Amino acid sequence: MTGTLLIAQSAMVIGGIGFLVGIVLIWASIKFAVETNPLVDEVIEVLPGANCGACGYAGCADFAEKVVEETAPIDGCPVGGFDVVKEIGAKLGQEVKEAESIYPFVRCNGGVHCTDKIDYVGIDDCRAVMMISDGEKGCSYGCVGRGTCVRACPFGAITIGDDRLPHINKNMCKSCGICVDECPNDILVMANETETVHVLCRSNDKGKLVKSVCEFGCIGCRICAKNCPEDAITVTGFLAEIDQEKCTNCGLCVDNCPQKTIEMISTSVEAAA
Amino acid sequence: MILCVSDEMTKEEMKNNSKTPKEAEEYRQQVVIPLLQHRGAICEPLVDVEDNVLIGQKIGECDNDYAAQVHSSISGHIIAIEERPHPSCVKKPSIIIESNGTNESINFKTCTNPSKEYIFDTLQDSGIVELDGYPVFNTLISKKIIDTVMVNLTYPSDANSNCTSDNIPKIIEGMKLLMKASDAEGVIIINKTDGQLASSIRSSLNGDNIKIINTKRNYIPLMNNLLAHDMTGIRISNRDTPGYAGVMISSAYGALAVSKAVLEGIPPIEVNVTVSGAVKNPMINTVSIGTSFKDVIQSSGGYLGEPGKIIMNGILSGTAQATDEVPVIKSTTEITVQSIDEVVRDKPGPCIHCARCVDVCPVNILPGRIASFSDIGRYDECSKLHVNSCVECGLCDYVCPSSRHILQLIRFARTALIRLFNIPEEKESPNLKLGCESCETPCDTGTSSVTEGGKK
Repeated sequence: MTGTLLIAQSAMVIGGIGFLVGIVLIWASIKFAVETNPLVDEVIEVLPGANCGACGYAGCADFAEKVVEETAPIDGCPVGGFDVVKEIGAKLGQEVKEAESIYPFVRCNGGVHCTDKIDYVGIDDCRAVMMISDGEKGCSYGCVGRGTCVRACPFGAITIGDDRLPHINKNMCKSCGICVDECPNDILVMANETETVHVLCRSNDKGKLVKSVCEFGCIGCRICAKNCPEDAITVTGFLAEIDQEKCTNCGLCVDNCPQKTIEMISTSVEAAA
Repeated sequence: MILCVSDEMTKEEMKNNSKTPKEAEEYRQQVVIPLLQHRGAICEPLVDVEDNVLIGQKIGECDNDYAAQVHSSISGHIIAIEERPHPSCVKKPSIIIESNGTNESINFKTCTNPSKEYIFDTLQDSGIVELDGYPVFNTLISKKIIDTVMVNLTYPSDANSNCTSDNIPKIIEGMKLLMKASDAEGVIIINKTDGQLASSIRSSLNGDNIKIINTKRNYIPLMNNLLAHDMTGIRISNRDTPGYAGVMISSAYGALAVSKAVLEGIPPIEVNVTVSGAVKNPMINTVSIGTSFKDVIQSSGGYLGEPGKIIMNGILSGTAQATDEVPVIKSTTEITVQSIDEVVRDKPGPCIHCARCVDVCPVNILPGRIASFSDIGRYDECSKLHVNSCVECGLCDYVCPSSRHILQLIRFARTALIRLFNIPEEKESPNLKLGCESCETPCDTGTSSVTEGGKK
C-alpha cells in the first residue's frame, strides 16, 4: 500500500515541478525571444556547410547573415557554385547571371623533369624548403612538390602525382582558392574555364640557365610571340605571357613551342575525371 | 655541455696552421659582397657597375636605425650588382667585385687616443656587426645606461677563430674602447674548462680594471639575453636586448673589429674563419669578406672525399648551405664540411615524450611540444609556449632519439609568427607565405613573454 502511495506522490511532485518549469520556460521564450530573419536560416540550409572561409567570412552562418543584410555579394560562396547562387537568388528574390567558373592550374611543368639542386632532409613542407635556399630544385621559381597545397585543400582535391607535380581533381575542386594562397612560390593560379592555353612556367632566368635545369622551362625564344596571329603573347624577362583577353585558343603557339612549355589545358570536368 | 663537436686537430695545431693574410691573397680573385649582413634594412649600393673600388671603400649604406655600412674588401672593379646566394639561405642583392691585383687601399685614418665621440662616430661609420646580427653601434645605445661591457669568449667557433695569441691584446684593446665609450666596467666571460685561454688573457691584462668570470655553460651569440640574465639577475624579455639590463655584450670578433676600426681605421673587411670537418687541411683562415666558401675550402686543401653538407657557424646551431658559392659575411666564424657518409639522414619518427629536449633546453621551454604544434600549423599555441624565447642552440635536435627536426620546426614557427604579426597587409589573409626573412625584421613578434632563464 505504502509503496504505491510513495510512487504516486513522487510522480506528482516531479510532474508538478516539470509543469512549473515548463511554464517558466514558455514564458521566457516569449519574453526574451531573439528576432531572427527566417531568411538567414533558409540561406544557411542552401549553403554547402563546409565552413571553409573561402568567402572571407567566419563560416557559412556568418556569410548567410551578411548576404541577407546585403553586405556580402550573393555569389560570394565559391564552393557552392552556380546552383547555390541560383537558390539564394530565388530566396532573396534577386536575379542572378551565370558566371564562368574558375579553377586553379599548376603554372609549372618541371617536377621530375627539373634537376635537383640540393638533397633536402627536413620538414616535408614546401614553405620549410623555401626557407632553406630558394627551393630544392635547380629552378628557384618552380614547383617544390612537397605538397603544402595538398594539406591546405579542405576538399581533398589535390594530389601529388608521380611527376612530383600537384594534380587537381576538378570534380572535387570547389574553387575556394586556399591552395593559391598557401603556395609559397605562386605556382597555383586561378584561371577561367574558357582560358585553355597557358604558359606552364614562371621562371625569369635566362634561357641557357633554364635549359640546363629544366626540360620544359620557358627560354624566352619568342617563337610563340612571332607565330601568334592575335599578338596575344608578349615575352618579358625571358618569360612568355599570354593576354587571355586576346587569345582565341587557336593552339598555334602550343604546336610551335620548342620547349613544350605552352600547353592546352583541358578544363572540362569530364576530361579531368 | 658540448656546444661544438671536437675536431680531429686540437686547437693549438690549428692555430699553428693558420694562414697569414698575405698567403691568403692568391685565392681572392673575385668577391661577392652582400648588401645585407646584419639584422635590419638592406643597404643601398653607393657604386655602379664598372666603377673602380679600393680596399676599405664604402660601397653600401643604409639610413635605417639598425644600419651596418658595407665596405669593399678588395681593390678592383665592379662586374655586377645582382641577387646572389647568401648564407641566410635566400638570395640577396650583392655587389660582385673582380680583383685587379693591386691591393690598393684608401688612406686608413689611425688614432692613438680616441675621444668618446670619435669612437661612436667610427663605430657608426664602420658597420661592425656582432655575431647575432646586431650592429655594435646599436648595442651601445640603450634606453638604460650601459654600465658593463662583457666580452663573451665562451662561443667555441668565435673563440677558436679569433682568440689567437696575436689577437688577444687587440681584443682587450677593443674592449677598453667600448668601456671608454660607455663609461662602463669590463668583464670577460670564459668557460671554466678553458684554463689555457684564461691564463693567456690574465697575462695580457697588465693590471687593467677588467674582471674575468668563469661560467659552467657555453653561451652562443643568440643566448646574449640569457647571459645578461645569468650575470645580473635581471630578466630580459625576448623583445629586448641585453641593453635592458645595462649590459653590452660583445664577442671576440666584435672587440677585435672595434680595435681595428677605431685605432687603425680599418673597417671590417676580413674575418677569421675556422675551416673544419672533411677538408684536407683544417685550419684558421683570415679571409676577405665576400670570398666564396668554395675558395675558403680550397685554400684549406679542398674537400676530403665527396662533400655532403656545408654548415656555417657550428654544427649544432648553424645553417646548412645549399651551395658552396655563398660568400663569407661579417658574422661567419666557422665553416664545417661533412662528407657524404657523415650526413645524418634519419627519418623522423613520432615523439615518444621522453623529455630529453626539455632537460637540455637552456631557456627551459618545451621544444618537443612546440615542434609538434608547429608541425600541425598551430602557431598560436607555439607562441603561447614561448617559442620566441628559443635561442636556437640546437641541443634539443641533437639529443632527440626520434630524430625529429625540432630546431627547423621551431624556426619555421618563428618565421610564420613574424609573417603573421609583423606584416600588416598579410595579417588580413589566411595566407602564410613563408620565406626566411627573419634577418630583415629585427624586432620580435607581438607576443610578450619573458626569457625563462634559469640556473641549472
